[in-house]
Amino acid sequence: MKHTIEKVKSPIKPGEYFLMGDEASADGAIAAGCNFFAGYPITPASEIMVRMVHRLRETDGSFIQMEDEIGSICAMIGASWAGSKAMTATSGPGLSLMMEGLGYAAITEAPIVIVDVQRAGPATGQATRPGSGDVFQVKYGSHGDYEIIALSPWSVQEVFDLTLEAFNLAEAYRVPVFVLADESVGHLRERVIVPEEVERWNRPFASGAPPFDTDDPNGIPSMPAFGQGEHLLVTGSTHDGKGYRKTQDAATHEKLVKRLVGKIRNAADEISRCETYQTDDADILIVAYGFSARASLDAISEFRSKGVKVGLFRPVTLWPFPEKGLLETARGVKHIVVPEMNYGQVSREVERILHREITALPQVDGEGMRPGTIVDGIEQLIGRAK
Amino acid sequence: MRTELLFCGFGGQGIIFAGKIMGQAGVAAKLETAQSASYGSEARGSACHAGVVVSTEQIGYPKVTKPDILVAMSQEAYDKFINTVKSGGTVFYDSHLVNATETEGVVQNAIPATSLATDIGRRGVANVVMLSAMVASSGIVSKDNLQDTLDEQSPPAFKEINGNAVDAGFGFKG
Repeated sequence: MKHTIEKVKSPIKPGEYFLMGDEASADGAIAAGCNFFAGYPITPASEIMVRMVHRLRETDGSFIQMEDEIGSICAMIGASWAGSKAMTATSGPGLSLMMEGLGYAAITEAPIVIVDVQRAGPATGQATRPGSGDVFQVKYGSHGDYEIIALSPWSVQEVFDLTLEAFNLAEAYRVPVFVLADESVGHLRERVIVPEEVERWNRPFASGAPPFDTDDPNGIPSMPAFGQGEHLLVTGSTHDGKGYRKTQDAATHEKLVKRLVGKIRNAADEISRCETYQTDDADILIVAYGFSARASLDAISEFRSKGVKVGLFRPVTLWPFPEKGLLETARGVKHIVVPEMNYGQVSREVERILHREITALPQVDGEGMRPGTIVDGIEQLIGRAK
Repeated sequence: MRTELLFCGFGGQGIIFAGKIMGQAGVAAKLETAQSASYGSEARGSACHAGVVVSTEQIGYPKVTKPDILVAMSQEAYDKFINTVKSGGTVFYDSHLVNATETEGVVQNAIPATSLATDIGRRGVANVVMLSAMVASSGIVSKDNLQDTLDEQSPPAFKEINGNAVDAGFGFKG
């Protein structure tokens, strides 16, 4: 089924602000209509929680500090099924604890938004330092087959915009959506413009329609809320369209899993987004996201000033990955480099999509990606090619 | 035109506050600005710094790599960052807290910020004195931009003392 769209006056006073990424995420959530936050404080995401305490008080929403992160995600799922737009904010160690709940949100098709302000891992790693090590975890961290959506902001303005969009996508596709930020953007302060009016998407609903099946080829069923008077059963076990447990039935299981995965895969072109910079004549293509894409801009100007044609492909959605955009942009390019703040995650995805040799430029020292890492990597590549 | 500023000192001096005010004043002056800071798990008393990038164009990399302007409020921080300053760059240091070392290609300004702040009755606004002296000398934003931003971002009780600190910074001629 199709979601509904409404335009509302921004509940955050429109205008120009100088905000930290984390603060902008909270404001984007409020703009999207978020009225429930459950979380547990963790560096470098705590500022989101702190701002939400105040914002939800101003907007008559609910805020609850849970005993831990699994409690937080479970509280969100409950809130979502009670009709709320629910959110949490966390970082690596908290995200690991949420993985059980993530699967539950996926199988019950509960729209939730998780902002992951990534830090250097594994485990507690370096709490105050950035990383991009959670790219695969958000996609594959819970067991079984399911799909999620993940967005990767590269500026504070985009943290605001993409948090808002995360709520809209969660509602439209009835799926967990991640804002995959990192400490570098989360703690960065920049100008943010809050618009007069915002567009909100709301979950599809038709009275009497089954909450876990649909004839619509988009695979998205109606979502009633508890208390709305609909017959409603919600379970993490395999269920039929009406929510009845069918834990021994092959056909029901296959149908459910195919729909959970298909509703996102089949809409990948519609959901996925990318941007390109100076790629028209590029011989060398940088594929970078989030903070690493910001560092890439400086590397590009440095090479361009020396006559080396370098361009940037920036996935805005990491999941689903903008495959078509990458295939088109990479056509005719001599070299592809993928700088990222992990030991090679998106680089593998790029390799898989393009079926060609690429150069990964991992920076895993817990510092934000430096333009120098990219410059040195590309210079070595040019040197080898000569 | 991109200018990189680095404020450094130790936790509790209002270093990050100074960086935040500079960034916010840059926004008020219609400049593109980005402010980042060092975050440690132990803030008070240990070394800290805040970087601000201001530009007339869109900012690519938002962190400071080679500061055009260094504002130093502790010896440890000064020693750590003095050699990162761009050739032709400018340094402002609190002469009460820092013994400067001769550095080639860098103009250094001694600002008795702690003494000036003590004179106006609150040692804790030395950061505002430093910031103001730097703004007065560099002209990156106007005095009004700075004063308005401070008023907006501080509790009302600080309005008068901050105003005096801005005047002290602007009035100081080395």
